[in-house]
Amino acid sequence: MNVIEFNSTRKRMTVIVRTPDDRIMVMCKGADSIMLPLLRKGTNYVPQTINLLENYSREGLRTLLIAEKEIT
Amino acid sequence: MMVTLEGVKFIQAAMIQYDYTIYDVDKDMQTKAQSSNLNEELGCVQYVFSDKTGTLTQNVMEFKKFSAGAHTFGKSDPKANHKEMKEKNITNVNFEDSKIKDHLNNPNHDNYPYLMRMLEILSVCHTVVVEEKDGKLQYNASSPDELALVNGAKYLGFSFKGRDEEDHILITTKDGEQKF
Repeated sequence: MNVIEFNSTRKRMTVIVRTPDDRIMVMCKGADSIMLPLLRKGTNYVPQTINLLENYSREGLRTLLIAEKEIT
Repeated sequence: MMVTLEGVKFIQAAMIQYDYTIYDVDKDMQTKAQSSNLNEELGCVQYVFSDKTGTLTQNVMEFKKFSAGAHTFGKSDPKANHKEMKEKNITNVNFEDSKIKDHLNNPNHDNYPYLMRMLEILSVCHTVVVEEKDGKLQYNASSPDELALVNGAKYLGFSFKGRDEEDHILITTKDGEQKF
């Protein structure tokens, strides 16, 4: 339905889509530093994921986070 | 004195040019010393700082590792099956994992929903465009990151097919074609 393209200020990109089962979802991927503060409090597996991100980046890998939310 | 110094610098430059340890195999090119005045300063360099990806690096991205739920997938030194990649027309993926099939094919697995959500987002949330070339779909991305991510999703069964006239995003999964 809409695409908010990546730019260096937002450091993320977002699409808003209607899924085949007729829900409206916001799907987002972006830099971890930007994405982490945007997550809802109590999101599952956040500490584990931060831990893994750190391991990945220590290996020199490029890291990204992806997230989604249903709009109602 | 000055002449000797110049002579030394000239020989140093020649030695830099003939150093096979900094020879580029891909481009079949040796190092080129544009100037021999800076040799001693080059020798002083201890750290190299690079402003962004692609300046000193190749800026080629590979899909290697990810995590979904509490599990992490992929290896640090993956040896991807190149033949399989070629057959499936997948590039920029270097991924190997023994437990992924188990998680992907078993809907009752704890991690199954997380994996499905993640792969769906990877295959939908991007600005890659599809081009058809010799009957094969080819991905065209503005950034190499996206290319790697979309190919990664494709490798794991969520294949991006393109956009239709009304700008819907089409993907195919093991449950068939889906339209967003």
